[in-house]
Amino acid sequence: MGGERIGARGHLVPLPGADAQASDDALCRAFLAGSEAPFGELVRRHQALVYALVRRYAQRPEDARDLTQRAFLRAFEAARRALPRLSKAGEIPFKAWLARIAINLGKNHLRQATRWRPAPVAALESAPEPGPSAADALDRAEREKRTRAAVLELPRRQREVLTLRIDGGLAFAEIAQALGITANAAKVHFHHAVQRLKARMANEDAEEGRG
Amino acid sequence: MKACVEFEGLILDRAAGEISPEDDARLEAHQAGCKACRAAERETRQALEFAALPAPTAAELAALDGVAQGVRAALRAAEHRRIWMRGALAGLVAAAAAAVLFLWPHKTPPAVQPTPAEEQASNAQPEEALIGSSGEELEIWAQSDPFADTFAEPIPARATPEEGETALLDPQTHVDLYLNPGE
Repeated sequence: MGGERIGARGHLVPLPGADAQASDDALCRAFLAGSEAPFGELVRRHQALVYALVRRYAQRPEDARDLTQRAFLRAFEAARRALPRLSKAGEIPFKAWLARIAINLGKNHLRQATRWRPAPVAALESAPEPGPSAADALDRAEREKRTRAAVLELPRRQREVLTLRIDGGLAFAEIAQALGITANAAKVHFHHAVQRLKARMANEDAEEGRG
Repeated sequence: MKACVEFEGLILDRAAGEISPEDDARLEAHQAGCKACRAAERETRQALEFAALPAPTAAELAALDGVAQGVRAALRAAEHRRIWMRGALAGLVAAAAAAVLFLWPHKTPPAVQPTPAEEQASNAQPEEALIGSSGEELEIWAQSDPFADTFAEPIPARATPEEGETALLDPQTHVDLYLNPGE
């Protein structure tokens, strides 16, 4: 491989310029073999995804940032523990681990913070923007808030699949890998989650005499 | 509004952004004449739109720049902690092993019984080897006072015995005199 060199412990270590093209597996192995350069690339590559996944559960942006750091820390620790068990051909599913760890951390964080209102990051950010109709904007903001609260009340698997899809933007195949299910099962959970949200929205609309 | 059952999955795939070009064309053709499926797609999109979080602010994204540094520092701290724990554990194990060795009751090892071959070899050793290596030592011992405490003062050897001593030097006469000193 042109973009790699042999590290001190006999592993392939990507050269600095090759980090951007290297796979997560190669970067992770190089980092665990003692090379510092791939670490920054791995974090830079996935920090937005992890942040997007945990901010749904975080109370403040600082909490989301802290959860992001903890997710990376746990993923690296998991990789360090798993590396001796993985064969050379076996890939480290770093992104899948990160996604899984992020939603678990977020969920635990939310559980511990039950005395606070859930999803305040969303609440903070969903202030109505000035538009043609302030009443419409307020109405929309209210519906968004309720729908986001409904997401957190979905059954566990449905919530995990839905947030990995709409917050993390993961493909169903990636969601399947992160959760240890089939892609088809991920699609089914997604379908049920959306149906539930739609049903809830329809009920609320009916109660408020909308539609 | 309820979508047609056979197109429900495709509506969801399209709303999620994972629909193949062929399925997309098929759904498009169907929706051209199906008001319910058009409404169902609109509702699905709206539900996903409301459920999604707003994009992170510039300030939030800027704060992410410090994540790598924070993770690196935490990893180093964890590594130091692990090394320290390993050292402490090794010390504890060594101390425990030393304590066990010190307190363990010492038992004398059982005497090793010689094999018949070893015994035979032992019996075959020459007598000189048991007492002394030279015949001169044996001679001095034989002439020594049997009641003397030590073997340190041997009788000086003389080249020729004096008169009367010849009988004493004869072993049989020596024994007779010892048993019957009055004679």
